[in-house]
Amino acid sequence: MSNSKKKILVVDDAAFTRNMLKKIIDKTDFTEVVGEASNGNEAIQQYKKLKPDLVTMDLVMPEMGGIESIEQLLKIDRNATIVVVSALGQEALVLEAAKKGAKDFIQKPFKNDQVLEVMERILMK
Amino acid sequence: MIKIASNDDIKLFISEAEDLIQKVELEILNLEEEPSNLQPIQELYFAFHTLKGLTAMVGLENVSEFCHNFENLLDKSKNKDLSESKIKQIIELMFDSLDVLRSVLKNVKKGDMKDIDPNIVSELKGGFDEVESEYDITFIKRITLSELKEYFGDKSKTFYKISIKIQSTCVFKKVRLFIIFRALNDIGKLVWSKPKPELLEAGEIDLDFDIYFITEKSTDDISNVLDEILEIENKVIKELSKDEFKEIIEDANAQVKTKGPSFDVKSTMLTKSGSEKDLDKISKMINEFAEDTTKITSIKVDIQTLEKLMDYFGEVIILKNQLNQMLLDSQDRSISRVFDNMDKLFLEIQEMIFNLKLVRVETTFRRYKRLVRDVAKETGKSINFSLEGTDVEMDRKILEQLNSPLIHVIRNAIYHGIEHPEIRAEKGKPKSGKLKVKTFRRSGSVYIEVIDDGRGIDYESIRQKVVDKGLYTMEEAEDLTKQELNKVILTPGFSTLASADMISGRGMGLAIVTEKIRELGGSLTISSKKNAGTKFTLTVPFSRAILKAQLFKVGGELYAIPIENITQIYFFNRENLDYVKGEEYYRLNENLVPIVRLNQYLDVLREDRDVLNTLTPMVENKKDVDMSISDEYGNSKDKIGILCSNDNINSTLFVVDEILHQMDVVIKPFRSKFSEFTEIMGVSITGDGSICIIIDAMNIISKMVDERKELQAIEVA
Repeated sequence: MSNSKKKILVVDDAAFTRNMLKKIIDKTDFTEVVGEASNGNEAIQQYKKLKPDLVTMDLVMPEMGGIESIEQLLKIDRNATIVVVSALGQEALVLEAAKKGAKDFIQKPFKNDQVLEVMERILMK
Repeated sequence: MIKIASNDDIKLFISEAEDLIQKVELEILNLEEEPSNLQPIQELYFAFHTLKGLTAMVGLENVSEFCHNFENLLDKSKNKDLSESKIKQIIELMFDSLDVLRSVLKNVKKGDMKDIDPNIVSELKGGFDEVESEYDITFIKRITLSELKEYFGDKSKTFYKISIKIQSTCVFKKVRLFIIFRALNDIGKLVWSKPKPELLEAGEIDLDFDIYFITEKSTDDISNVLDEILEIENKVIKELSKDEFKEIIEDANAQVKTKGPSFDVKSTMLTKSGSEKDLDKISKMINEFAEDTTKITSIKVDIQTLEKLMDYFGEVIILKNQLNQMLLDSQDRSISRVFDNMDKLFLEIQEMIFNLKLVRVETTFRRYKRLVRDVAKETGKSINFSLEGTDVEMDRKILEQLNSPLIHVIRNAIYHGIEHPEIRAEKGKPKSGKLKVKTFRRSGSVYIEVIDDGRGIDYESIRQKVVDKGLYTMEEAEDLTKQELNKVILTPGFSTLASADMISGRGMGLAIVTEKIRELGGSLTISSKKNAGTKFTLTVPFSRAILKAQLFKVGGELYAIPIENITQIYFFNRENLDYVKGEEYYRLNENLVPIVRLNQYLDVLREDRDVLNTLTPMVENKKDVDMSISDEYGNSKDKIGILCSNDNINSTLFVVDEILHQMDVVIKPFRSKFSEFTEIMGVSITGDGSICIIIDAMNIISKMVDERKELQAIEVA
């Protein structure tokens, strides 16, 4: 059963946010979080290992930030689906992320529905 | 400004700035020609960077900042994937910048170190902001009506209006729009929007907007793509008819025309900058400058210095010729040997000096691209302009003086030669007129042809005109050949008359052009065919320089022909004479070559114009003596034939009395009233102080070819 679920990698430097996302994502019957990363470097390692269907990406993180992570991830897999999860007031950064190739974005604080909507829209095709 | 720069520094500044400005212009034109190639942007970036430094060094702070802003813009643009409309905007801005820089430089040349008004700089910044803000999102690419027509021709394409409403909770509208536009552009082409693209791209919308979209995809496909995107409240995808869509694009184009960042150059008030420079800044700038120029592989020499060098050298050559004459008389072998060695070196030096003054015509001709572009715009004509033979080299001075007549001829061709696109279409010609400036060298002359495929000269109306104006009677006018009518067009009286109603299709000013070209020792000729086009040929000497020439005597007078025009010299043998239709020819290896008996030819000139006598007072007495010998026109066995050819097709044998030595001649061009004699290239002074007339063999050959053609034309008719 779990094999048919879409694999999600959650990238955020705050454990709190990662937990929140994991709870919402795991609740559905079509998505599950298969890995977590707290910075860009980890995200890349995890991505190579797990080959997730979708990555949620924080933008401001220590070591390697979101923008560079997006760039690197797309170098590894140009079809990587990345959704930015950003704080408010970061429009310029989000725009840059979108230009680098992020598929879509949601803002913190996010509601359950918003996260679910992203999953549905992008993964239920 | 403070005086940190000496006069020499300023001179260097002017010359470098000039080079850079030319470079800027060239690169803009390159960019315009091929917008997909971004190399020119890189080059422009470097040019403005250097200009920034240069202008700061001489205290033109505002100009420097002005350049700095351009440098920034270019820096940001050089790696971007720019839309065509963006590049167009950049090009316009660049052209405007050129005008500002030129006007500054013009003042500096006059010794006026006025800085530009700081307002220009801030105004410009506004323009840039507008350009740059659009860099954020540029997914909506406007199309022209003709592009739209192409889409209409493509059956696979469907035209949509997509109305989208974004959720009211959407915070990052700009990013949201970016994502929507990107998704749609992946499957088609966004061409317009309401509100207009600038507002949408800046994220300045409420929640609703319409976008106009061309794609091969179905409504469902579009819907699916949009379904993947968050924060869309609702969407309506509606197929539009071609007419509906066209109306939208027409509307769009009307709006675009009034748009675009620019600054008004004409309002550019130059003000004095009173600001002192801080020394640190200067020394930093000097250091940077020094780094850039540590390796000196070439130096710049003031053109005036070169001119002087040339003049002095010319004088030295005349003295050398005198010395040579004296040595010949004295028969002193040892001195002669030294002299010969010196002579060889002279030749080397001469060639070097000569080459120093040569520049490629490209240096000034490339500016004509801009000229044509501007005049075409002004007159609403569409023109394909091409330059051919831009690598031809010629004397810088002559090239400079050629500039204004040539501009006149080019403008003339656009104004009066090339027709408006609609008229051309009616005539079944391509809508864009062709205009070509073709340059080539033939022996001692540079030929510049300005060729258009416009309406051509209406000779019949000119014939009428000369009668109307009382220049000729009806009968005389009937007999005028095309060549003669061409000459009439070029006379001041006619030009002025014609300017009143443009009946000739050629405005006034051609007389002035003719005059200027003649002053240069050149000539202007026209050939034209109604509705097929007109060709103006400007012929100017390649250089006013020193030429090696063959001296000879005709009727006791001293003449010369440049060596480079001479193919071979023969003893003239009467048995080789042949006659075709009453014309004299000379048989040479199975070929018949036309003959010019210079004796008669020049006599005719003399009778016609009575000028050669006033020209050569020093040889007048000799002439009296020699005339008796050469009275029997050209039948002596001792005559010499000099074969000259202007190319491999047209050769002519010039018959002279006596062949003399070869000599370096310093050609002094004829001026004013003498310049009417295109058969004469100029005069020179020989070693013994006599005046020698240098014959323009090429010109005589061309004339004969023309005359023969005309004769044939008459016979055929």
